[in-house]
Amino acid sequence: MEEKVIANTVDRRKQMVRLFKDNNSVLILILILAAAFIVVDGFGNGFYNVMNYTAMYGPVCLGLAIVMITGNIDLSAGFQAGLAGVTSVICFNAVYRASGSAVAALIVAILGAVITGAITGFINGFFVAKIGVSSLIATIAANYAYQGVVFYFAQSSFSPDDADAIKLIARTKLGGMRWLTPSLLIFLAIVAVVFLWMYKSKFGNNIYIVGDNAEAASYAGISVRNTVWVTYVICGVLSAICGFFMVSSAGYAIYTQGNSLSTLTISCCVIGGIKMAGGKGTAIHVLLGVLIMRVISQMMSAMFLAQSYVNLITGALLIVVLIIDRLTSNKATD
Amino acid sequence: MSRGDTFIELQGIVKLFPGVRALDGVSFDIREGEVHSLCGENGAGKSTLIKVMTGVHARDGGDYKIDGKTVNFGSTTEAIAAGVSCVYQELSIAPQLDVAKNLFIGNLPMKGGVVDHKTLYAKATEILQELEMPISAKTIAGDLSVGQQQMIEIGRALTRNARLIIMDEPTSSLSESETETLFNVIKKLVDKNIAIIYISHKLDEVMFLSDRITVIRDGQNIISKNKDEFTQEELIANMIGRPLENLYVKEPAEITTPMLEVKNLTRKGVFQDISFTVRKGEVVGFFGLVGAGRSEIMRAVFGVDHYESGEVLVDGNRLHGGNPAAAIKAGIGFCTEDRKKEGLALPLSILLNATVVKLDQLATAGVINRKKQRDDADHYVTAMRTKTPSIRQAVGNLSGGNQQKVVLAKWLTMTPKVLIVDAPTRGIDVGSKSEIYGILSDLAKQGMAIIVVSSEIEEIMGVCDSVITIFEGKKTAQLAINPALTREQVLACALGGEYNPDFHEELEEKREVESNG
Repeated sequence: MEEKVIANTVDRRKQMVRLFKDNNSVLILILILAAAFIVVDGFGNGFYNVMNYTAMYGPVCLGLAIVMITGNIDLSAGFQAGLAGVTSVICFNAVYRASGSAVAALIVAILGAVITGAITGFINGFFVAKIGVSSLIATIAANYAYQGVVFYFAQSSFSPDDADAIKLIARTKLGGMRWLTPSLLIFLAIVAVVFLWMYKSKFGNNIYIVGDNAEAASYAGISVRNTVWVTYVICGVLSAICGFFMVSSAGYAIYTQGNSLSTLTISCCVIGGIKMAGGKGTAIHVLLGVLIMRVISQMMSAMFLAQSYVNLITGALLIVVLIIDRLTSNKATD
Repeated sequence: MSRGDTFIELQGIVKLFPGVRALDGVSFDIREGEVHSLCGENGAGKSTLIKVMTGVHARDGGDYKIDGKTVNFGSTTEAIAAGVSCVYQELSIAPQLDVAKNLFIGNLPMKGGVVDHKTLYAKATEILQELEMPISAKTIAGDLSVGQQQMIEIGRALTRNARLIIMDEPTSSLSESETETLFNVIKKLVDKNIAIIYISHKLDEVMFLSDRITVIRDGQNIISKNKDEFTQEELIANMIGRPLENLYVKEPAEITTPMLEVKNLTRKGVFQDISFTVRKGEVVGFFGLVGAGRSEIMRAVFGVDHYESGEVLVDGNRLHGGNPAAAIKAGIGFCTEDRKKEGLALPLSILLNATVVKLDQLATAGVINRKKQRDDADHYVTAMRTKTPSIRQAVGNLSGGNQQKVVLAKWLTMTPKVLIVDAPTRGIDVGSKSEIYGILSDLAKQGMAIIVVSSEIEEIMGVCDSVITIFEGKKTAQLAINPALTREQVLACALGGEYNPDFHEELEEKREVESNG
């Protein structure tokens, strides 16, 4: 009995150590940055920028994170978002011209974006999960293809007939506060739902098993193929929401929306503690990752640093996070 | 159903792969609560048979009945639902998830459409108690030892109400005490009327555990008998299809000048003050329990690990520590314990694997002499009678014994002065084992200094000139191997004592109790 008590204590200590290890890079950064941020900026313009970007890019990061937890990657998230943004404008204009109702047009625009995302996600999932193409290659290829479609429609800016209506989602100041937009609330709701879903549902749990040991999952009767496929669809839908938020924020669609989004999203996920090898991370990690990335770039722009320095520092930071992660990880390989 | 009743029957099972009859009419049956061992060399068809039984492969002929009803499993899930579970040789643990989720993998308890975490941890705790594991259900599986992970796999079968648990080489990476725990758990399972199919190359385990033994060779079942009706020799003869005169091959070699001298080697907390000499033509065995530090000493000698003090001399020249490249250059070859992880690149060809440490020497100005590379690989692969259609074959497609030969070939291409082999026959069938011993004996005769690290005492005593015993990181003895040396003497030294007759008696008593029980 005594032996058991000791073993349990050891267990608990191990768990605590692990908790620290899993989150330490995040925790350290949050502490430093939050302090610095408040000192530098207070709750002014900087805060608005951070929240605006978090709401906008948060969904696509979350989608990517779910794919990454299965041990795969989606490098097409950027132009899945871009494409969905373009579709939403097409849908908006079609309905607006037919019915004249801005509300109906807005609803159809959102639906159009989500359906586009589901389709592109399904296509990605088809190549990765069904055909078995490496996710890296498949989604790079897909990114080119989606980019091509976006370029076709939106070489210059591509505007909805009623830009104010489309801006409702990302620009409405709830309670008079500029940073509190419907898009931010939608994103936070998605975070909460995804967090609970991944903890509570069978499918959510299966995602972790597939990412941790796909062979074990398939021997346990879990369909690795379907699990991965579905995560790509989810990633597509969440990317599409980001795409719509981008359009809603800008008031138009343009081919640059989606540019460099892939590297940004991966950075946010990695900083937040999502492992490239899969099996680890929650929606909260993603939220933290996005916040941290935005806080960092906001701080640097508050200091009027040239873009070259901003990029250099962001890159250095990513490496530092990965090194900390490496040094505190007890395994030789991740 | 009560104990001893037949509940699974296989009749004339046939499984065809392109160009091969992997199973050619295998018939046997399983009774409730029995330990039924399946013996056979690599490639005999054991794995295929298991895969047919667990729904991985569909059979091409024959009948498979459970409780008298013919079954056709389309997936492992269906087999599991029918009570047939398998603990795989390659562990299928999800290392980042906790123990409870690993136990109930693919089978999480649900309530109202969501995972019921409370029931999950309560049930998991129960199962851990049943398996006598003093750990929390929230422990992360990756933190467990290999033995504990294996227990989790067995626990997994229990969560699925298994009636038959198939264990494929379960002890291949377990320590002695973990093996003992496993055997206790097997006893408990049997008491609960669960049947076990036990597959192992370790014939003493098979003889100790089994109620019945079935031998498979060339996809056919050769013989099926109660354990008591078998002798170990008979078992081996049936497995390889001819009587094996001598498993261990050791011809006398001329032992001359010191080739490897290790003086006062110390790495804090791992091993202390290790000194020994291996001479030309000599085979020195290193024996100790798993975790005693045997492999760690070899890793330090070879330079993969650092050491704090002491020195290593190869052929009289001092070797700089912590530098494997220097060790290779000085003439040390090191066949590591885990050939799949540390010894071979499985997807690559035999050709590349066999010549990888020699590429430097094969290259002129950075360009590899392909013909010479092929000739070298060909020479050693043929000399060791490696069974393969071509040296371009991926190593991953070979059997364990043939893979081990490629590891040996890899080091022999650079004609080392000192060859260290760690667990050279782990997971290898009896016929290939004998061949590997023959190769080592030949090398010693040619003047190589050889170190054999092993946890199999018979192997050490069968192929070495002397044995060094390691206990808790210290060298406890070096004993010359001669007919007067007993197993117990070696074991006593490896357990920290010197040879003492009382201990000897105790051990004898313990073994008698074991064999009676």
